[in-house]
Amino acid sequence: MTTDDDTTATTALEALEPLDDIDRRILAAARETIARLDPVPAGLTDRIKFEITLAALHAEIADLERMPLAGVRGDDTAYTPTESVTFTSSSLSLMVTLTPDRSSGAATSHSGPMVRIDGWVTAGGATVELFVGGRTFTALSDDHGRFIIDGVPRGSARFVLRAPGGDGRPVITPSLEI
Amino acid sequence: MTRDGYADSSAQDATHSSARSSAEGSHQPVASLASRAAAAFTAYTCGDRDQMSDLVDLVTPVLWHTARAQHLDSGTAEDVIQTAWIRLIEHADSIKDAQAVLGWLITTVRREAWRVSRGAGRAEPTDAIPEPDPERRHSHPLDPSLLAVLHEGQRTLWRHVATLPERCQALLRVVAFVDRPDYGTVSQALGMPVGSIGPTRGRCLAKLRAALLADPGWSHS
Repeated sequence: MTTDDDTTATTALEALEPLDDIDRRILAAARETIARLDPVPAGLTDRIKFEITLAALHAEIADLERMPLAGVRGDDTAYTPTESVTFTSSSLSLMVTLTPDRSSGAATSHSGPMVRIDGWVTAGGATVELFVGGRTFTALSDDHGRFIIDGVPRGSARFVLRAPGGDGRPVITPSLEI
Repeated sequence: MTRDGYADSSAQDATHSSARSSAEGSHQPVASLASRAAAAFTAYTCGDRDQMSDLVDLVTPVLWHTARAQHLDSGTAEDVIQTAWIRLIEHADSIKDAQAVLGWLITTVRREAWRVSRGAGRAEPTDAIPEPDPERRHSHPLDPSLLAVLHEGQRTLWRHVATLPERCQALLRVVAFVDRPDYGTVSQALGMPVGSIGPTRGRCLAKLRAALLADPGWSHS
């Protein structure tokens, strides 16, 4: 607390004219004005907290390989294309296929169109977590590595994969718009 | 460092504030933002993981305006702030002085903002807040139509802020969101020597103050 540097810095601050009420009023008004003109986006702190939670997993980040559209849209039927996406990492890989979910009451749901996810992961008994729109879906892959998650709302989504037995680093995918 | 000194003067403010006039009472005698951030960060590193959430709530406004003062659009500013937080998680163990966490985050956002806006291939700035590109001078990130949300006094204030040098505007946008004991931390994090925060800030504020006091639109607000 008593080094020369500290003394110098303190003096440099304290020797100045002290802030008076007018200064404080101006700064307070500037704060209010700037906060109104350029507010912190709604949900930003929630998004940060979510990213921090994921980062704390020390997960390996999988690479995204977006596959060509697999859906059949050669005629003028109302088929929504099916989309397949593959993620690869050093330990686990994941392929997911997205289709509109018509089975889970989507037509009557107030929460908009739903998606069904058919997944395949390169390990049986792997835990698959899907984070989307503030919700978490969890599935366990079967002996062949397959899993299904339905009733998924559209939005920005990420998967977290854990190998059976809980060994090794979890794998997290980049964000995917579903 | 002198941060303890700042915290002490803040505590004195608190003990004396009750004796002050009501006008002076508008200066909130709270612990500095750096101290509150340090407390949350210390609790986090000691295993209370929920405290990181408090830290996010505390400092996100400052980081937002740090990024936006560097002329980033809204989406890029978000990305830059997210990156800074991820780096903090990764480097939490290497931050020995919890008081430094606020400055660390502001510095990281400023550098990342620079890197993103100037392209990854360019060298980092040495220390100063970069002077704006001439062609960017007219692309202020704030939408003028938003001025409608301001009341008259705020509009007057903002009109005068907009005439300040770019560097002053950037400084003001950040300093307005911290507490007075944090000015040293903020000046360092923005790449200005500690000793210059007063004069620099003084010059910016003095200009603004003189302009406002001469403007009837302000004095009656």
